[in-house]
Amino acid sequence: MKLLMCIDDTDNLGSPGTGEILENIGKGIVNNGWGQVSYITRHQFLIHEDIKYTSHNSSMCFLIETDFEDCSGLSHEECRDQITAYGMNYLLENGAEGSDPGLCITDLEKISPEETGKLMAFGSRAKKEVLSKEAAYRLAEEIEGVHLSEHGGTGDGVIGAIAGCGLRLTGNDGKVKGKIKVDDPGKIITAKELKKRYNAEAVRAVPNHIEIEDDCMILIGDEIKAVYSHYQMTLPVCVNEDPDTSVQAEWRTCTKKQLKGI
Amino acid sequence: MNLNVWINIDGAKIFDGNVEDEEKAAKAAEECGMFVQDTEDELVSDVPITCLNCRYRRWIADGFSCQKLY
Repeated sequence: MKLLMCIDDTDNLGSPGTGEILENIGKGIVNNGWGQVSYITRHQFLIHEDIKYTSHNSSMCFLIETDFEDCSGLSHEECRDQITAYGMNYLLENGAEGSDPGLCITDLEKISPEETGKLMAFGSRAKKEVLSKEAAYRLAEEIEGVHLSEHGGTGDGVIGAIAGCGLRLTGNDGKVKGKIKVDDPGKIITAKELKKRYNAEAVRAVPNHIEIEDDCMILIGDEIKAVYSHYQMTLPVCVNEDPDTSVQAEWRTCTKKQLKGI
Repeated sequence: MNLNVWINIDGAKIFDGNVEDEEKAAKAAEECGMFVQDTEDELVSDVPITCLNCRYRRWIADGFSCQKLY
């Protein structure tokens, strides 16, 4: 069984961030033996004065993969409901004061290609338009494989929660949560070695997303941040404009500034 | 607080500058004294101490406001 879980609007200025809350839910799922969770992706939505958000209006999402053995004889639906209940209870108990938490769980084996398209379209709209809670619930009601629930406050987090699932489904949105520790900035290595060192699936150019071939040389900068592109944990690289190294390395890992807006 | 950096609009302290002006945002954070680094996933600048990376900045359509200054 494969489920996407996405949460939004769970924090306030003094509380753990939404990413940390999802990370904790993931630990609970793994510790309970219900399955494995993927890396977390962060999805940015429209910044607009009519939207209530703490400071940046983004949601966090991961993939849960469960084998039949993990479910201890439960049916597909029972196993999914067990994980759903865990997520709901966690948000009820840990949603920060003043927050408006929303939870979306999308059962990837229960949604059709058409429904997948609707979710992706909703996610894309959330990057450009102000959407309502009612629209989020209407979409969830149309799709049997989607659970959508709110857990305090206005519950407006349901908008970002379902939109985040939609954007994760596109395979081409957001950054991967977490800091990558850079071992030796200034070193030049192949794209193949870069992927191996940092457990990435691909190296792609910014801004055109073209995959960099394994034997291309990359200058390691001070920062490395992974993004979600082509359904892969991807290391983005930019043209190396440093005159001292650009002959040896056509590409370099991108700075935070270069990745702003992703 | 540097009065040249913030403008007050309906009670909100809005950064009076272009978000691409990294030098100005860094100077504002240094002068502020209340800078707290946001979670790693929300950092957008390579300058360590800058309002752009502060836990208390709130992005708005054409810039950011400060949720700490009153």
